[in-house]
This record gives sequence, C-alpha cells and structure tokens, in this order.
Amino acid sequence: MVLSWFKNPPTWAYRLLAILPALVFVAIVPVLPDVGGFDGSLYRVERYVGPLDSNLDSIEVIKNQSANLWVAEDPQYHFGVKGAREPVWYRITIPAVAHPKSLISEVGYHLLPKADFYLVDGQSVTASVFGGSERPALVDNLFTSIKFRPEQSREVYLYLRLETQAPIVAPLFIGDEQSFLALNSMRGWFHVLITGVLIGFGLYSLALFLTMRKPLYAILLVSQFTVAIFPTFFSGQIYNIWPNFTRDLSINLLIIMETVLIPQILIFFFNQSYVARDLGAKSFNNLAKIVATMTIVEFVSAPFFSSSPILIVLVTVSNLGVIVAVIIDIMKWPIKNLIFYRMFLSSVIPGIAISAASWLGVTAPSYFKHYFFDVNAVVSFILLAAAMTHRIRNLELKHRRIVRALRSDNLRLTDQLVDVDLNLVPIDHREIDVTIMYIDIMSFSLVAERDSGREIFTDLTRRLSSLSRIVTAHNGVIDRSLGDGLLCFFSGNRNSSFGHATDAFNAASEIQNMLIDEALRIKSQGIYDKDLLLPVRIGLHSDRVLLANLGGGVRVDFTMVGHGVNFVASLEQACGPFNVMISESCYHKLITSGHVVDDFAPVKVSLKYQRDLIQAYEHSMGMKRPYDMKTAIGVYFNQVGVFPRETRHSIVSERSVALISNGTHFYVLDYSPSGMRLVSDNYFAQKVVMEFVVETGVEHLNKKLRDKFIDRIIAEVKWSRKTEAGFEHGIKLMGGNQRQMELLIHVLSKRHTMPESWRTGA
Amino acid sequence: MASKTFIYALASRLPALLFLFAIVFSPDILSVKSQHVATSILNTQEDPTDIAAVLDLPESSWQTSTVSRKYIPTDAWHTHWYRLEVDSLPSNNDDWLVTMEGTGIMDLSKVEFFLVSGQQVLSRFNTGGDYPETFSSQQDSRYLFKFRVEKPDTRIYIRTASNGDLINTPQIYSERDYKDHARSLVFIVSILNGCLLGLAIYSLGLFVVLRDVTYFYLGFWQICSVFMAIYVSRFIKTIAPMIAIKSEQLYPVGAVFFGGFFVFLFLFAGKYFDYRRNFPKSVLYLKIHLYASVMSTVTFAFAKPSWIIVQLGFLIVSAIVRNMFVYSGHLKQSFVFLFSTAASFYIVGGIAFVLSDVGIIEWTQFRYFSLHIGSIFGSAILSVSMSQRLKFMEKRHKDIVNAIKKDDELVKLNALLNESFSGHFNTSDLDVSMMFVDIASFSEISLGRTQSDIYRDLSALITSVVGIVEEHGGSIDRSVGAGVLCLFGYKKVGKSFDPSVDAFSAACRIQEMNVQRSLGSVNKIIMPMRIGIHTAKVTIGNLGDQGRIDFTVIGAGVNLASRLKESCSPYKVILSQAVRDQLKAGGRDVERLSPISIAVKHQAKLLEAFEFNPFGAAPELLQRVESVFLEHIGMRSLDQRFRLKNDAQINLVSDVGVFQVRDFSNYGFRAVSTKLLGRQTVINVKIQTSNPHIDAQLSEALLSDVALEVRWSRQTEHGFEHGFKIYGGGSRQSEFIFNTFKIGFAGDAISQTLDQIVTEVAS
Repeated sequence: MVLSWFKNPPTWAYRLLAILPALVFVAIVPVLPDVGGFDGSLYRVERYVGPLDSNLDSIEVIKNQSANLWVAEDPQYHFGVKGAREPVWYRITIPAVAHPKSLISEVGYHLLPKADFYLVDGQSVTASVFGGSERPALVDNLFTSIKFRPEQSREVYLYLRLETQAPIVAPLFIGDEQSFLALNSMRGWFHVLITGVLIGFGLYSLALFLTMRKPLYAILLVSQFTVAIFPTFFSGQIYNIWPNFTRDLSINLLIIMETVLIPQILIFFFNQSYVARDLGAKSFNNLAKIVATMTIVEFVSAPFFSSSPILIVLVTVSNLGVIVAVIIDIMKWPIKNLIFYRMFLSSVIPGIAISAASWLGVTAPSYFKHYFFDVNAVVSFILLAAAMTHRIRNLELKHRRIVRALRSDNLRLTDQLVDVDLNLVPIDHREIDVTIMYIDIMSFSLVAERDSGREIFTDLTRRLSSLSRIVTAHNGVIDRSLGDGLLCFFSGNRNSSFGHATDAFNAASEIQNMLIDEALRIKSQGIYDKDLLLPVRIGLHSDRVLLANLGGGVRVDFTMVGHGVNFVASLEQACGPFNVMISESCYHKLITSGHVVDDFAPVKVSLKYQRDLIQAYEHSMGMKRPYDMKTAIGVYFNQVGVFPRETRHSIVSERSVALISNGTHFYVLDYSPSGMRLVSDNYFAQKVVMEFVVETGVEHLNKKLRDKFIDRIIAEVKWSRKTEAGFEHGIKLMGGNQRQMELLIHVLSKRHTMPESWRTGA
Repeated sequence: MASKTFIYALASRLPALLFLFAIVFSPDILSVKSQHVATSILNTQEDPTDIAAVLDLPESSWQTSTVSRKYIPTDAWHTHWYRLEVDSLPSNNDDWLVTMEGTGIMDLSKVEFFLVSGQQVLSRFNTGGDYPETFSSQQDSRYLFKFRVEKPDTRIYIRTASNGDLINTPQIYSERDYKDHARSLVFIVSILNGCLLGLAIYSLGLFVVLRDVTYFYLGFWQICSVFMAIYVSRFIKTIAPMIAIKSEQLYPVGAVFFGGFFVFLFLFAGKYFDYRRNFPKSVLYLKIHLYASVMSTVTFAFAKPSWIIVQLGFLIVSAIVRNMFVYSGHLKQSFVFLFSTAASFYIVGGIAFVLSDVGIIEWTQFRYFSLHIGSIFGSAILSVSMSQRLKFMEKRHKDIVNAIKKDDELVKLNALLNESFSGHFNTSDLDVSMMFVDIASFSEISLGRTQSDIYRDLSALITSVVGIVEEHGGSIDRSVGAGVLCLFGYKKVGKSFDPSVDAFSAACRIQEMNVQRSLGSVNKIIMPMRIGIHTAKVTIGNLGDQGRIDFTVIGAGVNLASRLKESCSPYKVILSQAVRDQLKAGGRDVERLSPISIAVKHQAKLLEAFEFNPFGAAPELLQRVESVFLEHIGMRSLDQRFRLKNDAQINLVSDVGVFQVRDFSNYGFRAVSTKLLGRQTVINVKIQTSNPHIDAQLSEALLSDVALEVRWSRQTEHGFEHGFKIYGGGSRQSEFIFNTFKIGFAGDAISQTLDQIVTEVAS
C-alpha cells in the first residue's frame, strides 16, 4: 500500500517535491547561525544622517556631532554597512564590561575602497586603522579590522568611515579574538571548497561532453567552471593565491555580472535540447530566443554599466525573469518527466534571491545569506545534473517496460513507451518476407581438436565476425550463431536498392570470393601452417517467416520461426565448398531481378524429413574463377589433409557402365571399394541418397549382379561438381557387406582398363 | 599480437606515467620563505621528559639534523627533542613562528615548544594532536609557536611525541610570510578536497537518479578517497578543529577509510566488470578477497599501526594483482582501458605521496598533494567511462526504438534488451551441464499448419520449459530451432552445486509437464520433446564482435549434448556417462538408467550413454500420450508385421551383442537384446536363423551379413526392444530377405501397436 504509493505518487506529491528546494532554503535561512555578525543586543549601532562635506568629514568633527544626527540601525538584525558614493559614518557603542577582553571589529568586504576604524574613548581617539581595497598594504588581512579593549567603567565608541561605489551591504563583525580567528579560518576554506566541488562537477561534465559530444554538456561544463569562480572571487579568497588581482570594485562587479550570464545561456540550451526536443514543446523555442537575445545584449552592454547599480539590477532582473518565464512555461508539461528540472528551477530563485537581498540590504544581511549562493550553486547543479540524468533514467525505465511487455504474453507496446507511433503493433511476433541465409564453417572441428577453449573461441569469433561484417554490409541481419554456423536473413526493406534475394546472393558471393582470395593469399605466402582456410557452405532460401520472441518469459529472444528455417539448414547441408545453394523460390526472385539463368546450375537436393528430392540451384564460384576455385580447394584439401588413399580404377570407355536412378544415367568414371565417381547430365547435391540400378552394358555381367541382388545399390552423393563433361558426382555405397562389394568390384573390373602406368610400361 | 597488447597496456598507463614524470621532476611549486637555522636532534638512549634534564645534557648528545622527514611505523610511542639555534635569525620587528608538523599518515600527538635563553626557560607552549583546543584558530594543520629573539643565546627546544618513530624538520617563518603561505596552502587543499568531493557527490547523485548500484559503489569509493585525502591533508583540523579527534583515535578512522576505499573499489569493479558473467570461475575467490578486505577494514578500527601497515600492504598489492588479472588482454575495450588509466593515477599518486610522506623520497609540496591530484585525475577519467554508460543507455534506447519500428531488426532486441553495458569481454572455461531440449519431428508436426499457430504453441511450450529450467537454477543459453540450449551450473558457479542433478531433475519435470500438456488440452498442437544432457568443460564467452553481443558456449561437449538429444526418443532423456557419474556421486538412484549405445558422426566406436524414462513407473501414461500424438498427426498406415513361428528363431549377431527378432515387416525387424542402442545407430549384423536351409539361402545370395539402422528403441519387460531397418543395400535385397523370412518363419500377421509407430514416426 505504502510502497505502491511511493512507486506511483499522486501529482500533488510531485508538485510538493518540485518546490521542496525553495521551501527548504527559505526555511533554513532564518535559523542559520551567523558566524560573521555580532550580537545586536550588546552593541548599539547608529548611522550619521547629518550634513557631510569636506569640512565635516573627519573623526574630530564627526565625533562631536549632536546625537539627533545619528539614527539607530535596527538592532534586531545584524548590521549592514550601506556604502554609497559619498562616505558614510557609523558609530558603534561599546558598552562597559566587568572583565574586559580584547575585541575585534571587522568590515567583511574586500572591495570597499576605503574603510577606517576609529576608537574614541571620551574625547580622545585612542586607536585607528585605515584600510580598504585601495590601501591593501595597510592590512595584513583581506579585510579591515581593528583590535580594541572595552573599558570596565565607561562606554567607548567605535567610529567607522566607509567609502564605496555601489549600494552594497557588507556585514560587520564584532567579537572576541577567538571567534574572529574561527571566522577567518572558515572563510579561508569554505568558499574555496565550494569552488572545488563545482570544479569537480565541471570535471564530470567534461567527461560527459567528451563522450556525449552534445553542446548541452559543453555549456554545462562552461557554466560550472564559471560559477566555480564565484565563491572564491566574491568572497575575496582569490587574493590568497593571487594577491595582485585587481581590487577595483567595478571591474570585479563586471566580471561577476558577465559570468552570471553564462548559466543563463545554459538554461537556454537546456530548454532547447532537453525540454523542447524531448517533449516537443514548441513554446520553449520562442522563450529560448528571448533569453538568448537578452543574454547577448546584456553581455555586450555590461561594460558600459560597469560602475552603475543598473548592471546589477539588469542582470538580476533578467536572470530572475528568465527563470520565472521558464517556470511558467514548464507548468504545462507533465511534472513526472521534469521533476528534477523543476526542483532545479525552484532552487535557483530562492538561492539567488536570498543572496541578492542580503547584498542589496533589502533584508537584514548576514554572512551566510551573503554567500548563500555558494550552497545554492552546489545544490542547483546537482539538481540540474539529476534532471539530465533523469532523462536517461526515464529511457531505462521505458526499456524495462518494453522487456516486461515482451516477456508477458500478448502484450502490445503502446507508442507512449517507445516515443513512436506504432499503431499498437504486436511485437511479440511479425510475419515478414525474407531471404534466409545459413552459413556453416566446414571442418571447424579441426580447429576445435587442435586448440584450447579460449583459442577456439578467438578463432571462431574472428571467422564469424568476418562473415557477419559482409552480411551486415549487404543489409543482412544476424539472427544468431549456431555453433560454427550463422543464421541470417535479408529483408531488403532498408537502404537496399535491390530485393532481399539479391542482397543475400551478393553477400553469399562476396563471402565465397573473400574465402577464395584468402586461399590464394595462403598459397602465395606459403603459410599453410599459420592460417587455416576453412570454406563455408551457404544456403539461401526466400520465404515468409515469423520473426518471433521465443524467450520463454525470462529473456528476450527473437528469432525466425517457420518452415523456411528448417529448409534452409538442409539446403546448406547440400552445398559444397565455395558454392552457394539456392532454393527455387530464391532462384526465381534472383532471375526476376535480372540475374542470368546460366549463373545457376539446377541441382536435386534431398531433405531430411522428405522422401522426394527437391529442385534447387547451385551457384559456384568456379563459374567465374575456375582456376582460383581449383587452387582454393587444393589449399583446403592440403590443410585438412584429404588425399586420395584408395586405388581407383578407371572404366574403359567413359560411357560403358551406367548407374540409373530417377530416370538419369550416371556413367561410372572410376571406382574404389567404397565409392564411385560418376558423371551425368543432371545435377544432384551432396547428401542425396538414391537407389541406383547398375547397368554394365554386358548382359551376363548384369545377370551376375542380379543374381546376387546387387543390381540395385543405395548410395549417398558425397560431393558433386560441374565439369565440362557434365556433372560429376562422388557417391558412397550404403550398407551391403564385404562379399557383395567383392562381387561388384569383380564385375566392374571386367569393364576397366589397365592402369595408366601399365600401358606406358608396355 | 603480444606487442599490440603491450601497446595497449602502455597507452592506458601513459597519462599516469606523465604524472609520475611530473612528480619526479617538478620543482617545488610553493616556495616557502622559511628561515634556515642550525637544527639538532637529541641522540641519546634516555628519554628525558623534562626540559631541565635536556638542558643539562652534554653537547655530544646533540646531533646535527640530516633527516628532513622520516616516519617508521611501530606500535610504540616515540619522542624526539629538537634544538634550534635561533640566534642567527635576522633582526625582525615582527614575531617569528616556529612550526612543527607530523606526516600525512601519522600526526604528532604532543608537541612542546620551549623558548630558552641560556639555561633559562623564557616561555613554553604545549600543543599537538591531542590538544585540539590549542590550534583551533589556526588555518592550517601545523603546530605553531610564536616567539621573539630578545635575549642572547636564545634557543628553541621542541619535544614531540608520536605513535611510531616520526622525525620532521621544524620550520621558522616570519609571521607575515607564514600567514601568506598558510593561506595559499589552505586554498589549494580546499580546492583539491572540494574537487574530489564534487566528483563523489556527482556519482552519488547519479546513483540516486539512476538507481544503479554501480554508481553507489563508485560514489562511496570516491567518498572514501575524499576522506583519505582529508585525513592525510589534516583538512579536518582546518574545517572542524573542535571536533577533531585525538590523534591516536584519528589514525584508525583514517585507516578505516583507507580500507573502505579498497572495499568499495572491489565492489565497484565487481559491477563494472560484471565479474559474475566475465569471470564466473573466479567469482568465489574474488568474493573471498572482498570479504577479507572488509574484515581488514573493520579491524583497522582497533588494530595497531604495524598491523594496519601490513594489511594495507596486502590490500594494495592484492588490488593491483586483482585488477591486472581483470584487465589482462582486455584493454582494447575502452571501459577497461579507462579503468586501467584511472587506477594507475590512483596508484602513482598514492605511492608518490606515501614515499615522500615517510621520507623515502624527498618531500615536496607537490608530492604532498600527489594523492589528491592522482585521485582527482583518476575519478575524472573514470567519470568518462561512467558517462559512456550513460551514453550507452541513451543509445540503447534509440536502438530499441529503431529495432521495434523496423520489422527485420527485431532480433537486435535480443542483445539490446538482455545484455548489460560491459557485456561479456572475457571467455572462461567452465564445468557446466548442458541440456538440449527440442521437439521431435518438428518438421512433420509443422507441416500443414500456419506459422502463427506453430509459434503460439511453441512459444507457450518454451515458456513452460524455461520456467522449469529457471526453477532448477539453470539458465537458457539460446533457442535453437524448435528447442532451447540450457546451462546448469553457470549461474550458481562458486557455490556448492551439482549441475547434473539440477539438469536431470529439470529434464524429468519438463517431460512430465509435456505429457500433462499433451493430455490436457485438445486445442494444443502436441509436441513431443527429447532431451540430451551432458556435463563437460566448455568455453563461455561473447562470439559477437564489437557491434554485436552474442554470448554462448562452445566446445566438443556441446556437440555431444546435441548428439545425445538427437538419439533420444520422445518423452525420454538421454544422459552422458559424465552425468550419470555425477548423479551417482550425488546419491541418486542410477539403477533406472539404461545403458544405451549411440553412433557418433565421424566415429567408428559407439558411444556409451544412458537413457532414462521418466514414466518408467507409469508406462500406461506414456502409451496414452503416444497414442494421442499419433492420432494428432493423423498416422494411420500400418505395416503388416509378422510374428515368428513358435520354434523359429532369427538372431542378429553383431559386435555389440545378439538381437533376437520378435517380429518383422517388409522393411525391418523388431528385435530384443540386453543391449540398448540409440536411434540412427548403424550396426553390421550376421543373420543366424534356426533354419540352416534359410541361412544357406541367404549366404548364397551374399545376404547373411547386412547393415541395420536403429529406427527406435525402448525398454520393455523382455529387455531392450529395437526397431531395425536395413541400411542401404538395395530394395531387392530387403525384399529377398523378408520374403525368405516370411516363407520360412512367419506366424500370424499382427497389427502394429501405436507405441511402435509413434517411435518410428518421431525418428
């Protein structure tokens, strides 16, 4: 119950989450401890509001000004110094204490051009410090401070004279030495650490940019590095390692304002590439244009306003304006997808506003409020990164839902899942017209016998990937590898300008040509031992198949299902090395698309589960490259170690002994105890098993065979090829026994010639 | 090949080598304006705790300091006295500061400063790691003593106490120089620590959003490196001086984070490299190593320094060895390459830091930061790889959408939806049980039916099979034709398991399920299944190239399992000898397994295997399901069969045994024997009958020897029954043989029983 609520929270929960950063920020600010301020109930602070000219502007005069010219600053809040173009005088009353301890007072702003402290006891000025950014040599710290001791019996007065160019509020510190040192120490690391964190983020963005190569990440990276400058520059910590950096307020301000504009561009880019593209939100485009224009205008015009508060106001307003506009627009879009982006936006405004209000004196300033944007920058960038990643997370979730859909029965994918209009296509299976290709590496067991498991794997991977590269290049798809074979198909519906049959045929030819080239290379380099040439058998068949998921609910396993798949495997079995065996349907497709009939030799093929032979067509590489093909076969036989081991006997006249089957005459060219070489006008593929009637041409020999029931023999075609004389077949006799074979050979020997050597010898 | 591997190995470490180069040759980046004064160290067996006693020691006890930095970890406390001749300092209106600091690894617990003029102690200051309140207002981590040289013969004595033998050189600065120096140092330490923190936060942020535990481990790995960095830079004293713990409590905390660094590294690498899939055999060892690391890390909280050092050595060395093992030969994969690059940054930075920190190599400020810099570079480089994962996810979605949109690319979903980012980059040899399950006579069954009908039933059947396989701890390698190849012992590798038993139990369940299914519904296409199981060492890995993931098993064992399946009769299971042995070892009853001989391609010898009939106890069930199947595929035509006459006998004598013919048809024999032969096995037999006349007739016709092929075989109460068909020969030969037999031996003609037909059909 609770779990499901968390898994699928209501919209109001999302809305709440979206504004959570803002709520948290606003909530924590009042309760933040203020390390940089002082106890307002202890010290009375007044500002001089009387006339001020060059005569009056000195401690000797000002300390005697009547009390009604001094206006109390709100003691409830921490003290802020409002600088102006004219000097400002403040008076701080230090009450008497029973046990005086040294106190330090400090103006914690490093860009005040002049800051002077005067300690007045009664009528006499007992101590003074002249500091400010125009007189850095006078202080050993970044900030101007004075050390003094309150009196036991009477109040003393601390006068502060400030000169500044901008209406900026700086915090004043009064406290004991210990807490001053603590403050100083904290300032020394806090801002710099934040800078470091932002640089760390930037490094991650750099990595993202390097891999994703999208402008969004580039601008994110630039923004992070830019914003990283803020904490150290704005707090003055930069002077710790770069003491000579300019202390001119207007230049500093300009730098800061210009750099503020860069994150503004980030929002523009983010809207463009994330929100607008992913959600198809057109309205963002107009907004983005406004933002871009405004940013560029501000960027260019900023130097002209450098010493004027207009610049700050302009940039602040434009920044807030951009964010508000984006927020208003973003409300239109589903909150679930944009939750982190909305959290980001809701964190930016209060963060900037809290700091800006503190600096401008709109709210009571404090050290943490002043530098709240430090924290804000970290939080905002985390949320922005989360927003970007969330998009990928959404994609992952979709992908999991697709998997779930595929694993369950009869689930249809909705277009919402995959962002495309699928019209509710059932994707668990589809019926398509394809040309199926089955490739099988011959004699791979040789490698398997020779090598160890890992080497076999490497070898097989190499061979299969060279095959699959060609298949893919011809718009083919690898369905799966099956041991040393590959099941592929061509559907011809992509970039292919030919039909799928032609694609498949071209791929098959290229594979066989590649292997022949490989054979020639092995021969020419004489590297028989190094590279093992293993030819492949290829079967092609065009059919309508189901492309279906057979994962069984656990995994996704799409594969072809259909009669054609079984068929192509048998077809491939009937194929000889460097040839391609093509089914009738595929052949017709090839002829229709302009292939020449002569390229294909009709051949009879037997199927495992079918009694009748079927018609197929063989394309041999030997047709175009007869010599190369011979070489290739030679290389193959050489490597796998196939040599004729038996004595073969030739028949006197080529057409004297015939084996007749299926109405075809096969004439015996030669024979051995285990098989015969036949030639005929018809072509039968390997693995075909036929019953032959033996016709010796001599009646008494025929009778001899008939008497012993060996006038009919069953044999399997082991190999077949096209030659000038016709189609040659190598057959192997099946069954029978020793005595039958002896008789058969005896009979055939009556018809055979003397071996070649005898004749030359005679 | 080997040189290529070397180039990758070198290239992946090149950036870290450049870093090493910088560490070795870079000048000291932060110039320190310290004043040089003569410094001596007390060299005596005694350990005076009192300054007065030290002042009384003769000059010979003092030795000019030559060591600038040294730390030897021991479990004992060591104290050292230093003496600085500060008379030689130039006149200065400002205060002088003498600073003393520990090493990054071990802080000084006590530091006592004495300003002495002659024999008179002018002032003293006690500070050190055990007194956090004394340095809380300082910016950096050093212990300071402020003094002025106002009297002649002024010296400064310093006494330090530390866990382990620690010597460092006191430095003297003018106060202003020191402040400048300290401020810039704090700046750099802050920014470096901040950077590390930022990278860690980012990783954890990614974890929160992606909920991928890989990022969690990475984040905590980085967090540990942040804490390590904070520890060795004593940054904790800067940021939270008041909560800074005493030094002897701090170092175990530092050590625990150091250990945590390795633990999270190992956890992360486990996910990153997908150990379970890529190193299935080593998973157990990797796990033991991980647990050992966790244990070490836990003990760090209580252990003495020397023990920590020993264990850290173990962690570092084993981490390097472990990673080397994981990388070896796989650096071509970009994510392995990046990991190696990142790791070498950590290693170079860490080692340079430690060596300079304990004074083995010269200490410089840059080397002091090398741990930070190495970690930052390491993390940043690793984040490139983590970004690649993000890109992979993004691209995968695009590919999935494309694949779904286009009909022909659906098969691409297999890899896209099943495989993880790292996929399989390693091959491993593994002992597994392979089980081939497929549908007998699938081609015949599918004839005359629409492909969608076939698919519907096939898919449902495979779903049931897969369910059973998963239940028994097996996994599906792939669907092969009308069946599946399952692996047992791959998922559970490293645990105590018996894959053969699992596979066997699954096979029995599958056949039971299939019988239930066949008998259960009239609407379903009946698909009898056959199962072959073999246990062997096979190679598991990715056959696909870079663009394609194709994880599978290869090996001779796979082919054998396939062959066993081919020889199997419907609704039965065939096991190899290896499986039977394992079943026996596993305490299973192997009495019910019937030995069966099977012909194997390219092999003259028959293979010995074992057949199991899951319905041995319920033969009627098997009979029923077979008859249902037969009816289903519309088998009607029956051969006429002839029983032998009462006294007649035909024996088929072969190398493997004698087969007694029970009846025969015009095509073959039904014969029993004590020996079981698998389907498709071809044997040569000599025909011997009870009638010598017929024997002579056959011999005369050269037909007493014939080749027979096993069409079906099964166990009956009389022994093993086989259906033989004459192999090869010619039609006239079999005609002659059976005609001769008919005349000589035929008794009554019998009609063939359904179960014989079904086995024949299913062949």
